Amino acid sequence: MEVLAVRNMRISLKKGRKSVEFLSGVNLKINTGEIVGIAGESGSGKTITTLSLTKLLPEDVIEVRFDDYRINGVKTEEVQIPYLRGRFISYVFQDPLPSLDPMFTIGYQFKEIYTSLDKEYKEEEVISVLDKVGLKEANRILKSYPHQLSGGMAQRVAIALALVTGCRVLVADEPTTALDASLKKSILDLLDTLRRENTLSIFFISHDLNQIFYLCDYIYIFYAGRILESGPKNVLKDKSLHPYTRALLNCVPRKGDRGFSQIPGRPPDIKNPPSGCKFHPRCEYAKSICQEREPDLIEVKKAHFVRCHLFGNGDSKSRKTQ
Amino acid sequence: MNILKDKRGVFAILILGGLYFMAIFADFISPYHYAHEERLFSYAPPTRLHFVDEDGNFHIVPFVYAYKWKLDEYKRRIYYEDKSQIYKLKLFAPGDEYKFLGLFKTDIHLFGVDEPAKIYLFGADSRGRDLFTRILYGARISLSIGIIAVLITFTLGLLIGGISGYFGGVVDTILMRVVEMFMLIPGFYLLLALRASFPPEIGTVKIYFLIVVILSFIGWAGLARVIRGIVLSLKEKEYILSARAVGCSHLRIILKHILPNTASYTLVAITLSIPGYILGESALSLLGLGIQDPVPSWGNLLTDAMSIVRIKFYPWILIPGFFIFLTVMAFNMLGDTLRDIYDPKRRL
Repeated sequence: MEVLAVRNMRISLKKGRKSVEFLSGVNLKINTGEIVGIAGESGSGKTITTLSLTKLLPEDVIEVRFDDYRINGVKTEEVQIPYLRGRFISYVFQDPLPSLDPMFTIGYQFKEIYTSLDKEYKEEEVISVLDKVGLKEANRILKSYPHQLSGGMAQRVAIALALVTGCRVLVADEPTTALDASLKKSILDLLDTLRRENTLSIFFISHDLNQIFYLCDYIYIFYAGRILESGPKNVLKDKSLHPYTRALLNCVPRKGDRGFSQIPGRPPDIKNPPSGCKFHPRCEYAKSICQEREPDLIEVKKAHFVRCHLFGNGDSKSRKTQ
Repeated sequence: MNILKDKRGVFAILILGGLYFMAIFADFISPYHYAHEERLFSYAPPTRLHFVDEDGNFHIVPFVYAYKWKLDEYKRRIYYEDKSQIYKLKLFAPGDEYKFLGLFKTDIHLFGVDEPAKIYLFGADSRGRDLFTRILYGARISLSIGIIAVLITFTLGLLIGGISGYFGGVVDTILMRVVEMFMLIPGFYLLLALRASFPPEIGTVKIYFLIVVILSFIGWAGLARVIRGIVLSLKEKEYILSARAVGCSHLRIILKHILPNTASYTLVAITLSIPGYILGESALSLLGLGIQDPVPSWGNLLTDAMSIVRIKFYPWILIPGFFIFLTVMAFNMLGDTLRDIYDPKRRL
């Protein structure tokens, strides 16, 4: 079942009276118990997109607009979006330690979540959630301060904090980046268990395509504030179409593969992007039309979308977006 | 309480506790009323407590001799003890009437001696008033003024600095320009100017609150500036984002997550600035702009000590300065200890 669907999210940066739109045409969709991967280079707008799902960015600088915002299939007004924080969408951030308030014990921080959501504090609930994320010594952990935890424990606590909110959608923003290799897999497996047992929907953001392929059902490829390609895991892994996706895949070291490549050029300045297709300066298949007009996101096969002139057949208006 | 494990902390708390206790029960502990004058005993030196009398008999209860004086060749009074009769120190002796803690009238003091003997533990001032008594009463003003002023300053400074740093943008710009207006004027001149803008002859209570308001008025700006800087860096932390992500309101984030994280700075700043206010009050009173005689404060008690000649002949009039020193030192030690304790990184 569709839990959250966003159509044509646009984000602009306000600078005095001017405003620069640096992200647009982003459609996101997530189903119950699904893990959706969001991949792309640094600065491609992955984090900004997910933070904007609850308008967490400072509103005096960043403006977020949606054509359509649906929760469980019901249209949601823009003013209601901030109320989704914690109640419907929760976040786990990259670095677990800084995301815990150093002044308070873990137990206090759990209580704080209950108060900010106007719920009654239930210790058993917290202990069972801690147990679920693999922390057995709940009592000791509730009494300790964030700096007394190890990185892996802190990340589990951060996930537990996100879970007690009772959210339906969890945004995991590079939850493994700050952890060492052995912990990475256990956190990934934890996320996998959570979506199975709690039918939680998870947005998983990562640079690491290997992790994304390991965990996710559906994948969005971001580049310079655009979705360039999106599709189910197997399709993107083996039958990806967009030159950028394929270039990205070539950057991933694989077993038995000698050497891997690198995409030439640098990611564009998001505030001053190139004309036409955002990827054309680095694209080896670039045609003249790529410079002139930005391609639309087109569904080439079922649930497989590509934003590229090579696959548009010029007939873009009739088959727009999800 | 970890503070009890730290020797410095215990020491500071004992000193401050003792001083505040003496201030609260000043009228009971002191043998006289602060305005009790005996002009005959102008600048009488500290009374000596004796245990052994002229005949060599030992007394368990200490006693004093009455003062007598004669003039030396410069017509200066020389005090000496009249050893003909001993006056035993009496506990719970009747003396000047006062209202105990403002509740009921009584004339019982912790200790006293029978007339005509006097007990001047720290000597007497120019008008023959007991310095010990006046220091105790003075502590009431000097010790409370710092705390009240700090409370006002910090409420203002934390709130305005917090709001300014957290919201940024136009709010920040406006608030910081206001802060700069206050910081433009050198503190002590602002203090004098503000004091000068009010009539000099007003009641002690009014003067007291005037001083508190003036001191806080000057102090909050600098604090707001520093707090704003700290908040600017704190609000970028991920736990603030996490707090917002679970739906905390702006006010709640400022009060519950940002301001507590400034605590290690704030606590030290509070304990370090209380002495500043005590000194500020002392400075005003010293110049005759603060608490007016006969009501004592540590500052105006020191007015006497402004002349080097008096210090030479009557060194005990410097004792109020020693109490200021003791208080300032104890607050600083307490501040250091609290910082060590409150810093969560030390709780390993």
